[in-house]
Amino acid sequence: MIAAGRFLAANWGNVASILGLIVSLATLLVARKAKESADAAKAEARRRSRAEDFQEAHTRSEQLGLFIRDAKWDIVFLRSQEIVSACSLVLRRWSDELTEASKTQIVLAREQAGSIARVAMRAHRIPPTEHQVLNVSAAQRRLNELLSAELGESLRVVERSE
Amino acid sequence: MSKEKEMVDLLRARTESGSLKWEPTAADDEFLTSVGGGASIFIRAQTARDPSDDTPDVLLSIRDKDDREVFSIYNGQDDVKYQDLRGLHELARRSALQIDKTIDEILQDLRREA
Repeated sequence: MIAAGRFLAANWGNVASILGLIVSLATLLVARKAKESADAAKAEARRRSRAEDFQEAHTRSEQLGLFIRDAKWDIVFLRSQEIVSACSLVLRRWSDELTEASKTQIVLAREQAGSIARVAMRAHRIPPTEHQVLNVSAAQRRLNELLSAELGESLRVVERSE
Repeated sequence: MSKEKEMVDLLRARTESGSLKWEPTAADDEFLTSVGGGASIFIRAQTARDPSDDTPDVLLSIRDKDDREVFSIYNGQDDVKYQDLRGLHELARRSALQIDKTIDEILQDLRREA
């Protein structure tokens, strides 16, 4: 005990330095863990946000089908324009996270929605023929299929990370 | 050869080989495909104004990744001839409507029953 006291008295500076180093390392470790947790939470929030963007576009696409069935062309025009915007937003916002295959699917979905909007825009002047309505309906089904695939993929990513 | 002609030739070759798929849109006789960098390509045949004319006008247009129309060829331009576009439109139609696949399936079924 006396020897330990003598040692501390003789080397108090070194002991204090080592203790300081240990405290610094512990603080660094805690800070690093906290940063990792924050980054993981941020990534999780981004994944969820992406899934929500797809969910919104997909819901609109389903509604579009009902409005086509009821020949409500003004609303078809509005909804399809909203889907065009939603797809453009997804492509810009999630550009780094999306695979090339996903980008292609979303571009196709956007163009299908755009083609529906162009037909709907003319429809209040010249009512579409039955054949044209069938084409619009087929385009809406394809749009829904493309968005469903992307929604499914984004939900799968969220579930895998949980 | 111009870039436009090369592009049309490559689109025809890739469609013919089946490595490029087209799909129908909401518009009559309009087909769509998407290629690298997020660009999309439309080809559309428009019914001629004169009913006795059986050569419809053909429009090829390209939209960039931001959905802006950046380029179009209407019925041919410079060394891209009307026939090139008409041929591409026909190939796109066969690809989009899966005409060959449908005919093959019918033939297969008919041959089996014969």
